[in-house]
Amino acid sequence: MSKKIILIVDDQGELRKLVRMTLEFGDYELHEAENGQRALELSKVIQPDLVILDVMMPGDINGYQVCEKLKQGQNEKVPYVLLLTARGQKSDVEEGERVGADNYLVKPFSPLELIDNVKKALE
Amino acid sequence: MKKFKILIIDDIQENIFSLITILEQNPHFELKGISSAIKALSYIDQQVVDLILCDVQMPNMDGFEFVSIIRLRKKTANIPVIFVSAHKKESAFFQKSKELGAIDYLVKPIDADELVHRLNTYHKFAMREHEKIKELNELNSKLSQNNSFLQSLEEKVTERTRELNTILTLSPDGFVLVSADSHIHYINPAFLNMTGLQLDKLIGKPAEMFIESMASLFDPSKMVDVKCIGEEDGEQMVYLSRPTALILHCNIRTMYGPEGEKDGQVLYFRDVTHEIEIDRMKSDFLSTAAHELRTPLASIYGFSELLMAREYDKETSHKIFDTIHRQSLHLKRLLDELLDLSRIEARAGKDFHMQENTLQGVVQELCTDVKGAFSGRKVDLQTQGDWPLLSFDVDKMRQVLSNLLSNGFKYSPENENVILQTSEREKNGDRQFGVSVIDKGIGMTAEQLGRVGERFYRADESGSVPGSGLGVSLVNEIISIHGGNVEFVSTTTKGTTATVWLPIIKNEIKR
Repeated sequence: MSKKIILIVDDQGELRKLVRMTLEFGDYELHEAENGQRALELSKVIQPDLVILDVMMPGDINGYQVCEKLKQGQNEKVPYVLLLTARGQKSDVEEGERVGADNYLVKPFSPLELIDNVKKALE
Repeated sequence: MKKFKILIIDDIQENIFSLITILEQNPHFELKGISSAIKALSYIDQQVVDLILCDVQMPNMDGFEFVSIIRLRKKTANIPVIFVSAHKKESAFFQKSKELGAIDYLVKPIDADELVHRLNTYHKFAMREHEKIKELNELNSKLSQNNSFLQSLEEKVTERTRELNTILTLSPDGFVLVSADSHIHYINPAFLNMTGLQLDKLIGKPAEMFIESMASLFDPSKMVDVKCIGEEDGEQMVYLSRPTALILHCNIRTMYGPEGEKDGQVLYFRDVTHEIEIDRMKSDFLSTAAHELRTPLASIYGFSELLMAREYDKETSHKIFDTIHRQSLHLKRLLDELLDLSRIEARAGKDFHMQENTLQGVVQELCTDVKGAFSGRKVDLQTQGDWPLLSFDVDKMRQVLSNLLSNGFKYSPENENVILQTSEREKNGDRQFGVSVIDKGIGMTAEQLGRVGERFYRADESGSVPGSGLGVSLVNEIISIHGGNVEFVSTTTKGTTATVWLPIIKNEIKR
């Protein structure tokens, strides 16, 4: 069975590195994108199984919009979307649900919890 | 009852005697006879007389002469007179007696019954008139009491009106009064200022016209229903897009008359634009600040957990420690600058130590000794002209310039020096001194340039250049308190020039 493909989307380099280092020990193929536009382009190419998506990103497209596009089926397969959000308010969670996100983690998040979430997502 | 006093003047005593005899029949009469007009003059001067029965033909002073004299004197001018004459009713005499205002003219020989009858009638009239005058006087005194009460009321009303007018004129809030028949009765200056509407086009006009005028100013995207004017009390927000964008809180209250009937309305408008904007900015700022603080925290939290959970080789774990350390510093810097910014904002320069000096000392110190993260980098100082006298806080200006210098270093290659240049200009009639920090770094796009100074905005989105995104906000805040301004010019890949302009107090020859 081939490696599961994960796309890490965050504007902060340090955070992409953190997610990468957290998941390095698993048997995953990891890709990174630093903004929403790039995430949509790259995901068409790599067809990820899971997208770990930051919500607040600079540029024209934020995390919610990326999620909505992915869930509307812009790729051949619809990926599992795990939102990484700095805001844990009810309205943010509702917005995440509205755009079809499967799960979310609030920053700062526990890497071990992230691993659990990723495992569950890819089962 | 007071007696009716009749004075009889006749030069012939027998005539006086016979008249008194006739008139004594009426017990209400008090009779006095005087035999010459001259004596009679002095008598009526001292006594009160109700009626004079006067002979026309008398020696020394005749009846007509006598009456014309008493008519001239205020006290006696209105005493009724009846002339008695031996002549027939000659028209000349009769005419004269009318001119003198006599109430009657009798011809001798006198018919006793007729005389008594006539005088009784005069007496009755006089009494009635007397009563009437008494009543009138009473009425008059009542009226004048009422008048003074009314006058004091009027004074109170005038005073109250003056007070109200002053308050309404000074009020920064808008007031519009609508009369009971739904016409615009009063508009205060603040309301005209808010709306730019003209007083003479609204006063006395129907309320519908007022509503139409208001509706023409509304923000089309936020139309509101203002039908409540002339109907119920209520409150609502009114969004104006003209003459300037304003948010008004409108409060409508009905006034009631003494019988509880509706007696017009007061429309009260408060400009809440600023409050709402501040609220929005505060909540935006807080949510952005929270986000910015969570990002370094996420690194620290995550990497330290990884270190605890896993075994890393020495090199990798060193890198992770380095990241944690760097992110802690970033967090500290963010907090420092946040506190700085909020303190400067809250104090609005009250704790600034403003001194009059030139910027030479601060600038030269920064150029010769680059400290901190960029120590070893070089600054080229290019001065143009003199160092003029400015008013500034030394520490705050050092903070501003070192902030801009570190931005210059941050965004330009290590082998490039940053240039610090001084200049002067005139803006709106004021002389300004400028210090520019010029770098040959990555520069900014027009979009990035437009967002410089926005809190937490980082032109560098990769996160590879450390910074809080608050530096320029802080610079802007400090310089605006100094009465100056900050300008940025930038071209991508060519570099950025940041110039701080401060007002010049005096040009001083000092190189």
